Amino acid sequence: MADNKSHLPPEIVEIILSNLSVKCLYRFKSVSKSWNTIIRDPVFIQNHIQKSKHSNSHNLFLTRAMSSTSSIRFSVVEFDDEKFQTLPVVIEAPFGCGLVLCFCDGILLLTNRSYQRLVLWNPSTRTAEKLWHRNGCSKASFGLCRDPNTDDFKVVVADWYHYSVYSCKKKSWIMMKKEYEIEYTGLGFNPRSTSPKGVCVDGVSYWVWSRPTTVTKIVYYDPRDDKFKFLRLPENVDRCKIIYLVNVRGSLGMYCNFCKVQIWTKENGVSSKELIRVEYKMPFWFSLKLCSVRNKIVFHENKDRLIIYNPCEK
Amino acid sequence: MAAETGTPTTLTLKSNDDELFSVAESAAILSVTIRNMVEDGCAGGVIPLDNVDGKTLASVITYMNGISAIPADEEKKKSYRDKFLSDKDFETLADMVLAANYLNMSCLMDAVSAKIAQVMEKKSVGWVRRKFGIENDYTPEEEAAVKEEHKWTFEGVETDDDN
Repeated sequence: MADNKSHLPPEIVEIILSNLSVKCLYRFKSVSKSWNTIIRDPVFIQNHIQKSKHSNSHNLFLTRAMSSTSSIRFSVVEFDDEKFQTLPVVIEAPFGCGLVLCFCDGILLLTNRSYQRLVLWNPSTRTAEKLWHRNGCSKASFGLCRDPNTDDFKVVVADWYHYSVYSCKKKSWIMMKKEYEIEYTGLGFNPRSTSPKGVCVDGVSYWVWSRPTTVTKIVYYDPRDDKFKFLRLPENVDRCKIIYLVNVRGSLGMYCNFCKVQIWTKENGVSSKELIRVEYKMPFWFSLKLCSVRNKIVFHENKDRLIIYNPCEK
Repeated sequence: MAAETGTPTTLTLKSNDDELFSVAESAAILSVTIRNMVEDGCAGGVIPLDNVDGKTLASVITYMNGISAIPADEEKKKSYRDKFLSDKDFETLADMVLAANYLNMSCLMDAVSAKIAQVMEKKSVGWVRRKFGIENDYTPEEEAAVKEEHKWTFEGVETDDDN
């Protein structure tokens, strides 16, 4: 057995470890003190997060699991070979909060029916943080964003006439404003449907803001300067149409699918405000949901049918 | 360049246990270490590779020849790497990661370290200690505390008796 031992230098061990899953890394903290030190190192953690983002493994989804007991559980679904497969993993929702409000970089914002008890949850590490809001926010819009300069996660709760922001670094609500600084935003109390869910792209949270009588706009919250801003819509969009936002491989995508599907994506960096149209039209007459997996775009056409589109192949 | 003269240049590599290998220069320069030697004009005679044994070097050369025969198609290269590493055991992979590091071959380095990680994914803490030759420096109390903290990560781990 002694001959089998391989004495790999620490820098190579670190490279190997950076390929492991979070679950596996947490287990191997028990290997030795030096391994624990490597795995806990903030630089190692940052590298691991970056590596996971750039790896082509964006094919795992969380879904509410059917459970016979009263507890709320999630199961993990893998998308591979053009179909979904449920993995043998069941994760219990933290603090009984099973409603997903929004997500950003693997972190989910959850709540229960009260809309007052909010939980930030990282399913990869099975860690959760409770935060209570002063009011019930059942009509508010929620968003999660990450300030790239300070690496601070922020929770944005935008209600009709006020909004509040929670900073994870400061572990407190850093803002409770009665008014919006830009023209009346009023993200909360959206009469068309339930309030829009924030879509997090590149650390910024975006919402579609629409009224039946007025035009559709895209509002975003920039965590760098803590301000709400508007994003200009592309030129030739029918402004009365319902639009949806989506994170397409780390860029903001926008689509509307009334009779035909049109997808636009925006180049990264908040400074570029133009949405650039990169795709085509497809003749579909169904209401589609869309997400991107690896280099493909997956349309979820109610129930079981999926349409997969590979932009490289057309 | 070799292609212009019509006869491909061949290099002779020597392992640390004195085995000699011939390899086409065009394949060998996948190693930045070897490429630097060639560029510095030190590749005229035999290139000694003091940190790589014959068995590992033979394997690395198989890889060099295989991967350089594939045209620029990342998908095909990836499937070649997967196939090349699929039957290697942990000890071989550990030797190869050291060789890839010494030879400065980033594509092989990335592939082998990812493969080792894949092998480790469901292994126990004891398996890792044995294979990496690591001494457990925790006291029993400390170890129990670390394990308790991340109890859920021990679900679905393979039993320990395999190699």
